[in-house]
Amino acid sequence: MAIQLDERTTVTGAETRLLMAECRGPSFPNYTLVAATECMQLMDLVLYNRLKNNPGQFMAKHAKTIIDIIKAPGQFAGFEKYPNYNGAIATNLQSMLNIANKSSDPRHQDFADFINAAIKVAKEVTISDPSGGIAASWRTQGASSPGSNFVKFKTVGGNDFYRLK
Amino acid sequence: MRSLLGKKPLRKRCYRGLLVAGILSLSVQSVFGATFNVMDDPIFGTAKTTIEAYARARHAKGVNNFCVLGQLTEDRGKSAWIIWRQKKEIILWEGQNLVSTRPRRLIKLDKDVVASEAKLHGSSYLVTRQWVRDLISECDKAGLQAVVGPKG
Repeated sequence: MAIQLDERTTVTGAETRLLMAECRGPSFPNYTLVAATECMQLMDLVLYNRLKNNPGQFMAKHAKTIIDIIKAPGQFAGFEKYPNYNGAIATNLQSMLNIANKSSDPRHQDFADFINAAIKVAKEVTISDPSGGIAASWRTQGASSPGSNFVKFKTVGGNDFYRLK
Repeated sequence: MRSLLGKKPLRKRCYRGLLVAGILSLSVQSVFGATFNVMDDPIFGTAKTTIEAYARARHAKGVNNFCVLGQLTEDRGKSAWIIWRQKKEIILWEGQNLVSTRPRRLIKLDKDVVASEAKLHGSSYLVTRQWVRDLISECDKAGLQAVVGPKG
């Protein structure tokens, strides 16, 4: 059965798309499903932590849902106008789905596993916070800190994860 | 934004097709972190052809100047920042085929740069002006300079 993402307007649909866009997928050298899954779990944690911990500090003052967190200005590239989102991201996600659903493509299982991991993480209960505080941000690996009130605690899946100081 | 990109693209004569002039160094620790010579790497050594293909896929017009800085990451990984001067962009290249898999991060220098860390508010992608300056400075010193000319 073909893999499909939840509707864009649902919380799980929005989060799945963000996870697929932000974590390194099978198109990247050195990709592993284990690292990608951990990356997604930490992102899921960050999103819910933001919702629970004064979302105004993350430009989402009146956030009621994860979608409000995702579309907060200046937070997640290409998602500010969600459910409309950046065309290049949409193209990448569709390419991943196409490969995953084409059984004759030798890469299809890797892509299917990656997408299913994103769907699962978006739907499952958030993991316990391993940061020693409140995990609250991620940055592209090697980029600078998201601000002076953040401390890096983990690098995985092409992203550095930060907790609040 | 002009000032962020330095004085101007490096002076180079434009030939048809791709010209690359690189002043490269061994892996070194810099203010920008540990860097590596992309041309010595089996994956990132395709920088010249990758950039040309990517520029063509994005319908680049005229002469386009790039600088590529390889960066070693904390988990012993490698990535590279590509500065595209004419487009005013900084592109994260993680060794993938940039044409079929667009970058996870594309920083637009006229939109995605803030004055200081205080303005980031935990953003996953905005960068500070100082970070951009440091990257450009380091790339000018240790990166690979590339020019993509008009298609011949």
